[in-house]
Amino acid sequence: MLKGQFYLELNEKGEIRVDYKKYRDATVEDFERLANEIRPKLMPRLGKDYNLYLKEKPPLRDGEELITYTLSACPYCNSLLRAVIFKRDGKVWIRKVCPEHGEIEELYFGDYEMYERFRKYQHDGKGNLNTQVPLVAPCPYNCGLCPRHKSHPALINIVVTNRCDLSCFYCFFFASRAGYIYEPTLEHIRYMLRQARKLRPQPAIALQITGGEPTLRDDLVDIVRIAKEEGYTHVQVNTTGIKIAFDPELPVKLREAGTNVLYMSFDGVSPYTNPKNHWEVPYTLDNLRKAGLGAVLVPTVIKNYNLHEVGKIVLFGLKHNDIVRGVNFQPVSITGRMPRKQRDKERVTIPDVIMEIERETDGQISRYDWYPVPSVVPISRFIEAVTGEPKIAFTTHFACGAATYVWKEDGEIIPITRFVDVDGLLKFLDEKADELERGKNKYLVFLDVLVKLRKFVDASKAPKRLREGKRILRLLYKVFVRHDYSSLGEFHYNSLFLGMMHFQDLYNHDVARVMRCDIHYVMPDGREVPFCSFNVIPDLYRDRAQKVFSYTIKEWEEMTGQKLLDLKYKRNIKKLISGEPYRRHYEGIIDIDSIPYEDHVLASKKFGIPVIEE
Amino acid sequence: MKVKTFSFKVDTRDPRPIRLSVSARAFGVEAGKIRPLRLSEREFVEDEDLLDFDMEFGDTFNIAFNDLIHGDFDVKVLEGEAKGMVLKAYTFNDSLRERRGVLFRVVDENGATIYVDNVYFSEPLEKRIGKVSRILGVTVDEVKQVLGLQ
Ligand code: SF4
Repeated sequence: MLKGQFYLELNEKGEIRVDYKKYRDATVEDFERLANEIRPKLMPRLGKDYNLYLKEKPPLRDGEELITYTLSACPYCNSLLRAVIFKRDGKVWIRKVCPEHGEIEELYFGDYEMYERFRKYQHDGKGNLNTQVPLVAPCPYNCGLCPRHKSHPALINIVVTNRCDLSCFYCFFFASRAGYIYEPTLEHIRYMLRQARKLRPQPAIALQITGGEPTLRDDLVDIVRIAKEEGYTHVQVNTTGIKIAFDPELPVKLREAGTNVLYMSFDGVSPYTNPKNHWEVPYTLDNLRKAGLGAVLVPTVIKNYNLHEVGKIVLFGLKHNDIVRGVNFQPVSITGRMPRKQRDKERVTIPDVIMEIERETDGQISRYDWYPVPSVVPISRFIEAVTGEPKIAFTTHFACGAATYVWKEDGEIIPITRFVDVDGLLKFLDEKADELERGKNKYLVFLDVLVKLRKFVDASKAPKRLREGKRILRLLYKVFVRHDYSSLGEFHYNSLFLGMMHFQDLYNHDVARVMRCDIHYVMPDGREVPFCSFNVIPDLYRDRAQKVFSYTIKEWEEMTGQKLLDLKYKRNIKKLISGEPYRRHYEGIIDIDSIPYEDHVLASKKFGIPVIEE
Repeated sequence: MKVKTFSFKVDTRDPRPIRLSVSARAFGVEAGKIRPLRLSEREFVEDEDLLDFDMEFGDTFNIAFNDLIHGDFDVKVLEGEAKGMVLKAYTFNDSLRERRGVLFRVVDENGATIYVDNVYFSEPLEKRIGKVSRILGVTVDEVKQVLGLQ
C-alpha cells in the first residue's frame, strides 16, 4: 500500500517527522524503505550537533599521575575533546577542557588498585563484518554500528513505548514529559529486530524489551513472540513490575510466549530508598513464582540515597533466590546537567558499590570476588576455538561492568571464588584457546582439559548441592569437554548472580568505553546504537530518532480513545502493607513495624506517585 | 583523485596492550598497468586527519585515533594523486600477538572502498591477491611484483 511513498513532514524547526498514523498497517518492507530513507538525515552533523577541539591536552597537576589520554564529549555542547585519565588519592579521575565551557573533572573509578586489577582482564572484540552505517564521523557521532565499533552486541534493547504509568522526577523520557508518544507497530518492531539480527559474524541472540513501561502495551506478549520468531533465544522484559503485581495472568502469558526473565527495577529495601515499587515488589515476586518466571533485581545506586543499602539488597535477593536470579547494580548515570557539588553527592562508581557490599556483608562478599565483564572472554574463546563457530564474547571495557556468583547456606554467603580458582581456570582456558588457534590437535587439548580441570575446583568448599557427588566437577566437564550446556541450570540453581553495570554520562564519558560497548539499542531507523550513545547523548540519538516516528499525544488519544494521564498509577499503600506477602518478603531485612504509615505515604508522594485509600 | 593514507606505530597499555606498526603503500591502475603512487609525507593534524585515519583503519585493524592517544604513537600522513582505481597495501607487525602480514583496500575512482580486508577475518594471502587483481583488472603476478612478493 505504501510502496514508493513516504509520509514525511518538516516542522517549523526544520525537523523531519513521519506521519506515523499512516504507517499503522505498513509492512516490514515498508518500514525498511522508510528507515533507509530517513537514517542518513538523522545522523549527527559536525558544526551543527558537535565540534572538534582535539588539540588541547588537559593539564595534570601536582600529586596526579597520568594513566592515559582518551577522547570525551563536553557535557554542555557535545564537542569532542581530549581528556586525561589520571590517578589521585588512590582513585581514578577524568578531566577535559572545553574551549567554550571550561574544565570538567569527574570521578572515573573509585579505586585505583581495582582499576589496575580489572585492566589485566581486558580483551577486545574482533569488531563486526557488516555494519548499519558507513564510517563518516568521529566516534561517538557515527552510531551505529559503524565499522570501527570493537564489540558485537551481547544484548539488544528495543524501546516499545515511551508511555509510563509513573512520573519519576529524574526521567525526561516518558511520553507526557517528552510531549509525544513513541510506540512502534508490531511490524515496525519486527523490522528493527530483524535489522539487529543482520550483524555478522555474530548477531545478537539476547533481547531486552524496554520502555517507558513495556507492560502498558496490550500486545507485549505478541512482541515477545515476534522476538522468538526473529531468532532471539533470550528475551527479558524491563519493568517496574507494578502491573504484574496486580495481574497474575500476565507473567504466565509472558513466560509461555518465551520470556526468560524479568529485569525489574529495585532501588532499595525500604520505602525511603525505593519509592518506585517497594510496596508492589512482594506481590510481583509472588506472581512470578506462580508463573515460574525468574527476576533480576536492578538497583540504581546513588551515593547519598541508597548506597548504604546495597548489602541489604543482596540479602533480599538471597532470601528470595527461589525466584530472584540475580541483582544487577547500576551506579548512577547522571542525566542532564548538574553542578559539581551536587554530582559529588550522587556519584558512585563500581568499586564504591563493591566495597560497600564488602563492608555491609562483613567481608563475606569481598572486593576480590568480583571480576570485570571481559574476564570471561577466555571461556567463549575456548568454546569458539573448539567448535569453530563464532560465540558471543563479552568484550566491553573493563570499567563498564563486573560480576560474581554467590550462594547462601546455613546463614553463610559463599562466593564462587571460595571453591573455584577463577583466575587459574580463566588463564588455563585462554592458553588452551591459544593452542587450538595455533592448530594443536583438538583431542590432545581435550585430554589436557580432562586431566587438569579438577585442579581449579575445591569441591569440598562448594555449596552442598554442588558438593554432593562432586557435581560441580561433572558440570565443568560437561561444559568444557562435552559442550553440553544443558546442565548449567544446576549451577545456577540456588545461586545468585551479582552484577554491576556502570552506564556512562557526559561527565565521565570515555570514547574508549563506548566503542567497546556490547549493550545496544536498535532504533526505529534501523541503526544499532551503543547504550552510552543512545542514552548519554539522547538529543542526537534516542530522542531525535524516536520523535521522528511518533504520534502527537492528541493523535494517540484520538486513535485509542484513552487519555494518557488516566493511565498514571495510584498506590493503595494501606492495602499493600497489610497483605501477607509484604511482611513475608521484607521480614528479617527491615524492621517493618518501625515505619509509620505517614512515612510510607510521604515517600510515595515525594517520588510523584499519588496515594489512595479506597 | 586525491589519495590519502597513513603509516603509524602505536604502543599502549590502557585499556589493553597494543603494539602495532602499519606501513602503508598505494598503487594506481592506469591503462591496465599497476604502478606505485608517489606519496608525500606530512605530520598528522588531529582535527583534519582523525576521521580519515579512522576510515582507513577502523574496518581493517579495528583501530581508531582514540586508540593511538591512549599510548605512545607516531603517525605520518601520506598523500598523492591518482586517476583510476587505487590499491592500498598495509604491511603490519603486531608484536604482541606475533602476527605480521599485509591487508588490502581497493578504492574506485571516486574514492569509495570496493574491497577491504579485516585483520581478524582475512582469507589466505594468495586468495586475497587473486581477488584484488581481478577487481583491478591486472594479473596476479603484476600485483605480486609491485608488492615485492616475487
Ligand atoms: S560508539 Fe561504536 S558505533 Fe558509535 S561511533 Fe563509536 S565506534 Fe561507531
